[in-house]
Amino acid sequence: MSVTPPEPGLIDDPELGLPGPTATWHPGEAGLDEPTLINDDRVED
Amino acid sequence: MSNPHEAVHLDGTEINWLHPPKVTRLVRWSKKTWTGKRVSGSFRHICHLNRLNNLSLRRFGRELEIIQPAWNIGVKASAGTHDMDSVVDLYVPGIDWWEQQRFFRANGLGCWYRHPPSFGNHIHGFTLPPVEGVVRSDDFAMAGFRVGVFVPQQLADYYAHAYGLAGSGHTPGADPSWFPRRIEDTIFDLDQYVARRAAKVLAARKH
Repeated sequence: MSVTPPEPGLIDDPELGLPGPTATWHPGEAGLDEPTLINDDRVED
Repeated sequence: MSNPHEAVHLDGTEINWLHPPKVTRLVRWSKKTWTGKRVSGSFRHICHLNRLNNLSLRRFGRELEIIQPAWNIGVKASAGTHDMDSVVDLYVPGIDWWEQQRFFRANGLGCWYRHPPSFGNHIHGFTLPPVEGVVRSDDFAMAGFRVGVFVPQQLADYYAHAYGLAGSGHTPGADPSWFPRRIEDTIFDLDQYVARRAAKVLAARKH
């Protein structure tokens, strides 16, 4: 996946590197789905 | 379901859920950033983060980690994004980055997974404002939320499936990763969130 280099001011604190893999998006991700539960009263909190 | 954190007033006092603050009122979260700094924002933004945190616990068994909160004034590298409301850099430790991007997008956080070489790994996002009219870029302002100068364009880019970055990062459809079928359907409903808590307060009074 190519990402356009950010312009100054759009860098979200690039010095804060986090531990973890550098994942690469792959087309298989497009077939996945995710439920929207943000307003679902059945999911209590 | 455990609810380890909650929105509180800036002085730490509890929210009166029967008489909640205005949606734009500055409050803070009982949870802090990963470096122990305060997380402040509008009442709506902080309640959204808390709901996301509870959903993350349910979905992944882990809480969010806030890297950079809203109203983080004085960070030159983030000028224009984090210097006012609604914007956050965060992640869920140990969870695949694309999976957590899907989770956040499905639940009302307009966001992108930012990664090397341009960025350190993190999720950059904002609490989606209510939809008003046909132009998305002014939705924050229409709802009364003050955001950084680049954020309205990032909101429009999110709805257009663009990257929210400079140059070709604004190209509609350029981001091939997962987006909700109808982004509007993922917007956090603060009234509903408050009503759930108010109902619990009233139920507790009866007992």
